[in-house]
Amino acid sequence: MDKQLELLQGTLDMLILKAASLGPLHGYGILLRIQQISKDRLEIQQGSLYPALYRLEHQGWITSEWGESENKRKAKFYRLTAAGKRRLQAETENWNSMADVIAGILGTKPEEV
Amino acid sequence: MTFWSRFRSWCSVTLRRARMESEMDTEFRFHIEAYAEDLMRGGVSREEAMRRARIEFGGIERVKEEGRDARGAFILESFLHDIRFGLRTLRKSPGFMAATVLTLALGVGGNAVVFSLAYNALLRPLPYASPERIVALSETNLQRGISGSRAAAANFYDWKDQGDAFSSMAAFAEWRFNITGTGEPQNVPGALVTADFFTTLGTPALHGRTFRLDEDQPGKEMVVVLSERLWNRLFGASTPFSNQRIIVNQSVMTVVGVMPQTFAFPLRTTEMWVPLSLSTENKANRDGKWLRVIARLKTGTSVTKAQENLHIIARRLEVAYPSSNLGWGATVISLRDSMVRDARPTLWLLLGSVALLLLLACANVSSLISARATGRTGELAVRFSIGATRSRVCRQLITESLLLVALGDALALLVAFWCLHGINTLRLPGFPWAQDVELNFPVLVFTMAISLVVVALIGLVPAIRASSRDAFEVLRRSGETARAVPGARLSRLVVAQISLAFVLMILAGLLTNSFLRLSHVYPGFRVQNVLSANLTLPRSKYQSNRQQVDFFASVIEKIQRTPGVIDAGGVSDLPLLGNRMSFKILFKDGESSGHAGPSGAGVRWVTPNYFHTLGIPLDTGRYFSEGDSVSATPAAIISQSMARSWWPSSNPLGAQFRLEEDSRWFTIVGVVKDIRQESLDSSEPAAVYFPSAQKSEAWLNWMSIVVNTSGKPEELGGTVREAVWSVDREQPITEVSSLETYLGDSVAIPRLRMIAVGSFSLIAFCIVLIGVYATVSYSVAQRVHEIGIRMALGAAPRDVLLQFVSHGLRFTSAGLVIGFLIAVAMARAIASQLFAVRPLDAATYFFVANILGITALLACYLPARRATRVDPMVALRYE
Repeated sequence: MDKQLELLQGTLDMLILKAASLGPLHGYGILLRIQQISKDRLEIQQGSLYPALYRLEHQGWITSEWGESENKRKAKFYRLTAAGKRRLQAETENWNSMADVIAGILGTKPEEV
Repeated sequence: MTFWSRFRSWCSVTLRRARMESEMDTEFRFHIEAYAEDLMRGGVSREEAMRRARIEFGGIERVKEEGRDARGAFILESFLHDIRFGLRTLRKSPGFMAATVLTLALGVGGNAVVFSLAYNALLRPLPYASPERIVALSETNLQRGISGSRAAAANFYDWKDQGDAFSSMAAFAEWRFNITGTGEPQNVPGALVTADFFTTLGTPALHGRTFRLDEDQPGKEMVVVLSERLWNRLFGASTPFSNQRIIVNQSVMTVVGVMPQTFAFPLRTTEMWVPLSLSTENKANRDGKWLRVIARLKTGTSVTKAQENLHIIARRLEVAYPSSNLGWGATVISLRDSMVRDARPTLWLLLGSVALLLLLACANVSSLISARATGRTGELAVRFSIGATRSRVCRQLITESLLLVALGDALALLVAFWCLHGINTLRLPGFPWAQDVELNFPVLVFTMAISLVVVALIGLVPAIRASSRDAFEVLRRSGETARAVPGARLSRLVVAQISLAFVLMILAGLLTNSFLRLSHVYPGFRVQNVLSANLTLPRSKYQSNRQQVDFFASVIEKIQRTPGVIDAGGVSDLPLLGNRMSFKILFKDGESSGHAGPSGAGVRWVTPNYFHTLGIPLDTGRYFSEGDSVSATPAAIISQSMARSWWPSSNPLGAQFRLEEDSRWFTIVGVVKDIRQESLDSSEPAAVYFPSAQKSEAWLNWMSIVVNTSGKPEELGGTVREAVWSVDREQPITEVSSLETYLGDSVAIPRLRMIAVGSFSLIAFCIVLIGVYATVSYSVAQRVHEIGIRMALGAAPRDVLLQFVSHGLRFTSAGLVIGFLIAVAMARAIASQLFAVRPLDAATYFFVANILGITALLACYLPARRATRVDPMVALRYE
């Protein structure tokens, strides 16, 4: 397993939105999905997921409802709202352009200046 | 949409909190169990899997707390939670709560009371249109030391015609009216006013109208304006307004308007206003000064400008009418100043001392909270370690301070309410500003504002300090140290308390000392069992000197013959009331004009029995007798101090002098002892008495009758009235009162100062003792372990005792020294309010320092003695 990366400030919300956009998931499922997609390279404090979920729900990006999990237990499932989809899109674009800029700056060689 | 979902989320959180909590529980349990199952699939035992799942999840309580915050539940939820928790913790330490709440209640309550007074006097908007432009005008005679005198009618009309600084000017005089014809006859306090009285004040009528500008001309229909209260009393509150007719002093008058309840001028009790209709002759009178004058300044005109304007007019009148106006000027002051007068220094004193009291209360509560917070470091550290954030703990601590202040405020308002009720019922003489004082909206706002300051002072610093991360250290070291810093802070707070209390006690000591000396001043004349009544003769009826003198003589003779009367006499101006007429005196030394004598000597005309009645002792020569009549040689009696300063080595008897205005030479026939002519706190340098029978001035048409009785003077009021009325049925009598009342009234302000500052300092004294006691007790409790070790190693109880007492001695003396420095400055500032006591009165300082120092040391000693009873074994096992 590669060394785990610490999550950048404010990126957890984006990851949750992305994970939830792939289909309704309970909190543990969201954690698993993020770890699965990132191939376990991100370190996420498990408990910190929930305040983030509540915050997103409070802001109206996601909604929740109680359902039954794969092992027949009562669990709360989170799903992206229309506003959440727009938000995710905006965040993604924002992130990509930011990443481009940063990468461009960091990739600059002395002779290019 | 977003807003709506937010709102819904907030509502569901707030309204269904219990459900949210249980849902969070379910959700977290699911997470942990699901993770544990995954771990178990990897071959870990169930027990181990659950343990690891819990660890990796993190502190559940912290996640919950953050979850609640994330849902916006914190605002109301956690506040209510904090309050509940705070109340619970406070209930666990009732002594702490009682001490802090009571201290805050007294500190804040005292401020609310004094602020109410100050607001009432200095800030409350007068209930008139642009009240800052309303001024009061009065006549002044510097030569005779008269200021704030009422105005003569002719002068008023000249001011009104010529004054171009004023947009309107009105005169009025308080008057009583008899209303008959509507039920029982009643005597109603009211005022005679010129027609533009209401327009000058700028208050419209509630119903009907105020006076038309020509309604004060003679020959007009008689009209009257009533107060709402009087209207309701006469016609019933439900009767709609109409031009009712009432009989006032035997004339029919038409009610043209009703004034609102808020309008009470010139007196609080004024209930009706009647146009002041003067005959041409009366309008031309420059001698009878009986009108009070108000005016409205033109927009943009300052009081100073108005004063210049009026000054020029007065000069002009002096030149034009020297016989009546020579020496008379005119003064303009704002209406508010005319109502507040000399209240300002007293109010500043009260505001200053009550602010000191509040600071002291804050220092005290702050020290109690600090002591308690330090004792709670263990508790706080536990809360940190189970996941409370720093701001969360801070919020909790501030909420507790807020709670204390809120409880204190509630009690403070109760205290203030009772105090103000007491002040209002006292009806303090000479304090128009100390009447109808109420706990109104501005006072409440002020109280809230100072409460916030108090919260900041007492709550913020300890909260930030206690919530600092150092608390982790405390937990690790199991509370053995971390007390050096708060200990120093506590000592500083105690020093502050002692110094503030010292300042207040010094002020109270000086004021009490001053009041005691003042009230022990012997005025030089009999005060007990003496009744006085004022008579002013109408000049139209008693034109000549002769008529006036005869009238007074027969009234006094009638009174003298009444049973129960020992002696009766008359004087032109009663002593102690601040009234005096002074004239330029010329001594005869061969020249025809004479050389100038004492300037500003007080002159009084008295009947022969005046000295007997008031028991003023004779030094040499003789009193006046019936023989000193108008045809006899003009005689005079002078005071001892005048005799001493002008005839230090010779006998003044037989010497002659005259008044500049009077060409007759008066021969000195007697010297009497000095009395306090003007007030208890000032001695008049020179006093001259003339027999009233020999007065040459017809304008001297008033006299105060003094009656020495064998019983209670008040009971004789009726008899005196009868005697006057048996001579003249229509002669009005004013101000029937005992001299004792006057004496009491003349020291009312110093008494108020003494009582107010005295109670503040008493409260301060109690607070500081609680503070010292609590601080030392706390430090003893914190050092039980240390004391145990020392005693186990062989320290004698005496050493332990000495350690604490010497600590107490250090902060007490520091407090006294700092307090002394502040007190000296403060005492200098109030020097003008002291009588016969220097601001640095050594006895007061010595006395106060001893009382405060000794009791503070006693408050140290009691808890320190407990330290000596520490059983080393118990103390060490406790660890």
